[in-house]
Amino acid sequence: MDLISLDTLGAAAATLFEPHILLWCLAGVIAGFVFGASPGLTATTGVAIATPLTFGVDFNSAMALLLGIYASGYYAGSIPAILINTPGSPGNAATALPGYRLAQRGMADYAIGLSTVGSSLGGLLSLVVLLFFAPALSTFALKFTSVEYFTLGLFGLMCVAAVSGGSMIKGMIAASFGILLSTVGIDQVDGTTRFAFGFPAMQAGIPLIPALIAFFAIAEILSQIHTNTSNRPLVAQVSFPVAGLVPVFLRNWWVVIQSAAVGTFIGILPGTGPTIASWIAYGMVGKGRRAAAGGDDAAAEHEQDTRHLIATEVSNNAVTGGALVPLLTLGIPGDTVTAVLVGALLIQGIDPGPFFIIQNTDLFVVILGVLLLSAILITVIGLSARRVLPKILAIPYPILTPIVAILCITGVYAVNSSSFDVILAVVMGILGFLLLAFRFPMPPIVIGLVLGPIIETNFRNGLLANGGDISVFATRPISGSLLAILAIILGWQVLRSLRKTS
Amino acid sequence: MRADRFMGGVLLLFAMATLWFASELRILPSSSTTVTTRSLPFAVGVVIALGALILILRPSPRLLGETLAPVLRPQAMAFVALLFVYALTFRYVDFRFGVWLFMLVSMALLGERRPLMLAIMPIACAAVIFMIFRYGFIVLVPTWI
Repeated sequence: MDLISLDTLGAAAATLFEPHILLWCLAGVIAGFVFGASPGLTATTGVAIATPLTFGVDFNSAMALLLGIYASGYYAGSIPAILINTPGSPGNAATALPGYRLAQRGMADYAIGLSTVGSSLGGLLSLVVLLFFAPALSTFALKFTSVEYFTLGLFGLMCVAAVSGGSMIKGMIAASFGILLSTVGIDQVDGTTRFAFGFPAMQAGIPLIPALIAFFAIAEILSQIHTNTSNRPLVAQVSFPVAGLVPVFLRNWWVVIQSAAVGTFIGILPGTGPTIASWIAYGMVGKGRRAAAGGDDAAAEHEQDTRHLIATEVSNNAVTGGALVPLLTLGIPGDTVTAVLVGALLIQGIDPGPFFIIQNTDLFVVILGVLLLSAILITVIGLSARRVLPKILAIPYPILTPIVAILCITGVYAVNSSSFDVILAVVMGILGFLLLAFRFPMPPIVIGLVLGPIIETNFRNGLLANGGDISVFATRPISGSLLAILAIILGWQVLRSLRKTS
Repeated sequence: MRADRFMGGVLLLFAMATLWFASELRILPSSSTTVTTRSLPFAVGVVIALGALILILRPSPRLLGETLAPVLRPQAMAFVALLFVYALTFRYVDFRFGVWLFMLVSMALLGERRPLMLAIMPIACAAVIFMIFRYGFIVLVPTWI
């Protein structure tokens, strides 16, 4: 905290009240509502599509737009989860259980209110952690050498591969494929060209933004063609006063704190995300409630659903602040959206890493301010328009899909005005579509692409600096500890999958 | 046939190709360390090959036909083909015309049958998206006029 002076805070506050920043953030929050609430589209898709658009705007406007989409996208997935039992994104899957039960009892308005306030509280509480924890970690990270960066990169990548859902083997193959894509082009250490196959455009490597859009957006929309969920009937809502939510949250203050802590902690771990956070928070509430309730009457069931809903929504939005901690302090993405944000920061000429907060304290404070602004906008818009928001679900799928496809392609073109990038993105998107059909997860591919150069360069530099002694990766305390944790995670996952198959 | 077994076979071939191409990479005489420009592609190729072998030996029960069903649906294949053609012709076709045509064909392909929607939406989208990119984000999208 001592890194941030009052002058910096004041300047950042003044920036946030500039009309164009407010408008960008508002646009981001509204876009996030659309992407989050449309089943099949996610906050990651929204941020991936919007990232190339930030090429022509300044850092503050870019962050206002992207973080607005990030925060509101994680929240808005709860709307279809509550109303039609179809989570807008995987992070809201746990919300569908208590949310849809409440909606079936005519309490959809109450459930959306809980989700709105819970999401904002989650975002705000994780912001406090980001404010106090990130500068301290950033200072600590200055002591890291290539050895630690290699291990951190490997740790983040393997965590994504192990926990990104489905088979761990497929996660590993996907991560390896992502790393392989990152080796295309001129080798950063030797200067030799790898896997360009005579294409001059490939010598610069696989560009990050087209790859992000391909694997997170194009592959997703193609895989949604056979699952049109937008025609499901919406549940009729019984209105519930906003003021009535205050005693509910006061009664469940401990659930809020506990779930925010879970979400933030899970967010800090590289490669995790809102899906894991919300299920853990859901499970933690479940155990406590059974002990307290004892019975299964309607009131207890209502109270239990309320607690579960608060837990899932607080935790999945608390991931946002947490996931920014490793990105802004170590340059390692905490979740899929922050992997996309790496591209956004590079567009602005900023290299995320331990020097980011120290050299750009003003920009760090702007990021905090934009997250705060997003949380406020989510609350205001979410509560005042909660009867209109379900209409997003009524956007016909034959209209939404081509619009998203056009935005993807034009967004890719906008970065370098390169038609080669457009073709590359579509080819990679089709490849992603095929891999999704075989249940290969997409996040490890993209995070492999982001972390591949970090892993390779630091491994080679680490060896060079230590006379080719490979044991240095195990003997240095931080690196050795991370490798040990990684071995435990991988060992546990292998045992689990072997037990499952047997 | 099990889907994982088929994919394992494809990935094994891919890994072999990766290893072969990696072995062809030029190593500079000045490279002093044991880790060269070939090392990472080699390591990745080995991991993919091992993963492919595991998929072949321990496949999940899912069948290939069931897995490929969403991909091979005529609607999905037609949309993929349309998207590919749109990407290939992107630089040669006027952006407004391209968006209009792509919207019109893909809306019809995805099941939109209301004539008013088919008449208005593609024109409206072409105009709005062009204005946003051309004048909002100052992107010089391809134009004929």
